[in-house]
Amino acid sequence: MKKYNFIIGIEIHTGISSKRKLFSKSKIDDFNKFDLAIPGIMPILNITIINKTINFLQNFEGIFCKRIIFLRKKYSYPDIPKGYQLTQKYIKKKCIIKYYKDNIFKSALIKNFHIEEDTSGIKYIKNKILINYKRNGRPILESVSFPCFSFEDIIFFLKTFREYCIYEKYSTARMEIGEFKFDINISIINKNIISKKIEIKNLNSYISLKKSIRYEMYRLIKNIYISKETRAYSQKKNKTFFLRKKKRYFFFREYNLKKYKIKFKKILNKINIIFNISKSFLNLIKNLKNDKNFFKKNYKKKQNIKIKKIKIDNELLKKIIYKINCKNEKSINYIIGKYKKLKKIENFEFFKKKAEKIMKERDLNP
Amino acid sequence: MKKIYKFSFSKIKKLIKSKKDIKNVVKFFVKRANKKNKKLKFSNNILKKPKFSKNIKNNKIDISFIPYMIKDIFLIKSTRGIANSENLKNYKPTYNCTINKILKKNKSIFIGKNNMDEFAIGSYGKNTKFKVLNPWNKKIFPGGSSSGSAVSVSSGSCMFSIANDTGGSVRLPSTINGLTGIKVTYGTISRYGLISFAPTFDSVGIILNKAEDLIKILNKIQKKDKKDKTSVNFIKKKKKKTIIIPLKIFNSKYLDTESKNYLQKLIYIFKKIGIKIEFDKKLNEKTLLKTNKIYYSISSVETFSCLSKFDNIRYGKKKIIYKSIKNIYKKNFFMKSVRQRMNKGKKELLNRKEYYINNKLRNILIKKMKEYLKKKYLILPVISLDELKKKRKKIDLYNTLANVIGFPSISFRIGFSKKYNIPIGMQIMGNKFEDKNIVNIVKNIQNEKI
Repeated sequence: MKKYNFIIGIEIHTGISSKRKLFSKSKIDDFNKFDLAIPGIMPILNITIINKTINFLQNFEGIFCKRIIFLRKKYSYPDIPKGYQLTQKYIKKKCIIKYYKDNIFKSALIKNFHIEEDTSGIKYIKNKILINYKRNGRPILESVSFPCFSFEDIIFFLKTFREYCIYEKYSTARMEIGEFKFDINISIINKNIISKKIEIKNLNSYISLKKSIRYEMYRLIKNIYISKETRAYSQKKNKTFFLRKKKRYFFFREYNLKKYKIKFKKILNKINIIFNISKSFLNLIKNLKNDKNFFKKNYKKKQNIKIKKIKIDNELLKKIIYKINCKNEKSINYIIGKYKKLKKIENFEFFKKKAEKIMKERDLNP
Repeated sequence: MKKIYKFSFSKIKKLIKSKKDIKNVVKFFVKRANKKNKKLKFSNNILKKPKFSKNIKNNKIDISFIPYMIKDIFLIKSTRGIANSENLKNYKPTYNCTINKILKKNKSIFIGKNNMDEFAIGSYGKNTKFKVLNPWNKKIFPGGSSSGSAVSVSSGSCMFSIANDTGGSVRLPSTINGLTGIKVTYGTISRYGLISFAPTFDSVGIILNKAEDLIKILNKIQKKDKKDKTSVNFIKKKKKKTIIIPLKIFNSKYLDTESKNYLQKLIYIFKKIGIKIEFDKKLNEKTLLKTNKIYYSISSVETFSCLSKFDNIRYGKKKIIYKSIKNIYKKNFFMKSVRQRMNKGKKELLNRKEYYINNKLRNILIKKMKEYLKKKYLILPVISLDELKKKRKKIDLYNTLANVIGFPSISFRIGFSKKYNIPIGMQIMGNKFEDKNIVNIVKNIQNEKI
């Protein structure tokens, strides 16, 4: 028996839920002059989407970029009307997402997160190509991982990540529409030889992911020296098929947008709330509470609330209290009601303590 | 109504006293434009009945009731065709650019569009199928890329024309035609509705006769625009009183003798106006050659990305059926010069090191020139006249510096060359946001001559 080790890396595309598109003011189910790439029109950055992603990504360990710069990714397909796609280098890099699977600690290493523009949809019908421009320009968060997953972990991680996105209201992540897609890179290790990586694109469901990986494993075991290529999966044949050879893209800066400085408005640590409610994270909750080093950075809490000085008219209180004889909970409410008619009460608890003190004095010295 | 086109704006406004006078002014210019266009061919569409307001109360605005033209690279709703390419002849623009909107608000009158080099690439005015002729000397090219807009002003068929400047394409034709042309600081005029092939270098320019009218137009136009994120608010700056003359450039062999002789005349005028002169030996021809290299490498990369969407599939003749992808590029959509620029950009990207080095060199150049022009202005020639007959690639040698840095510069007429029968010009460059101070100097020079 020979033993083979597989390494798997993923790219996850999650559609960000928002009312407007990333670079134009058109609604998300509609298209604009910019989306049709009519000449002379310039992009306008939608800042609310960027603030949303920063809030979402604050819960992971990693390094944020200081300024957001967009790049042009140049390639020519019919689904890009502009002739280039607007992407980013990274918004956060070198991230670690820690999770527990069956009480075993595991970590997913993520190379970078970056925001992207979606391409328009394509349908091939006989000799014609139909292009759906409504999809063009929708915001996408792409997360690229290091090759750190084994075959058993990958689906569990995808499920937890998806439900975390839904809980944060960051995206609806409906897989049937294509709001949550993933690409997969596989390579095989046999003693000293590492095969070249093979990319499978546009996987839509967990079942097709499982089958396509399994098919690709057998193919790699047969022949390690396969050249680099990108493939796709067809559900009818239960097979992956050849799409194209790996392409080299051109990147350069988009100069029609200025650099945007990141501003951190809130510093929140939401994790505790999430694990209590979300069901698929139940495995994590049990162990996470004991694990103190889950976050390296403990954000400093600001607790410098100054206590105001409270003024209470003592003589008025005494007058009210000395008229009554009994001592009940009802009697305090009665005192508050009487006092309220004449003056304001700022702090009720402080008032109650004061009233009880005077009541004790009354009982001792009637 | 004879020779109204030689007047200044304020003189024309004094003539207008009733509704009839406005109609007469418009009629005169439309008639003259159609008459001159038959020989010179500076425009493809001149409006037969231009729209204008008939309210005389609007006469108080500085630039109202003054006819103007716009380069074909701007998108305007009522016209047809963009960027002067033959394949996009029937393209209908669906919106107006912001400059035309601002000028419409100020009640100036739009007459028509001007021809130019295709997609504003080229500096001879010959890269199109709609070629423009030079009114001064028909054997010499009118200069480019905004050749039509310079010819239309110099032939007297409109009062001013709006164009764009990526590598000296406003200043070069305006000097050859004996006019004043300005290239403003980067981003002070909005570029919404302009097809720019190199968005980092591109800025809007104006061509007209006299500098005193130029300030009136700049006051209205230089604004921040919401739709253009690169645009900035204009900041006022104090006047400076010294000007640098780079001796090494004016003494070199490359520059012709006739424009060297006019330098002494200029120095005499500067002393009269009250501007100090500083002779400098730092600025070389070598630095200008290097900026030229930086300009061509970066601009060609940007054309490769910006213009690649204009293919025969989405734009142009749609009825042709192609058998394979290679046939699309065989059929000529662009002119030869545009295709060469795009191919150069693709090569530049494959060899990435040079492109990144050039970008770094550009940032260093901006820092150095900011210190160099801290409290001073700079004077440079626009073109060496020997270039007019022998074709070399150095034609934009003096002009690309202002585009690479993003500083304003203005070109103006100082004399006339007897050898070529063409006016001679110079250009003054200043630091950022000093457009109006530069214009004031030129205004003083032009008043001094007369």
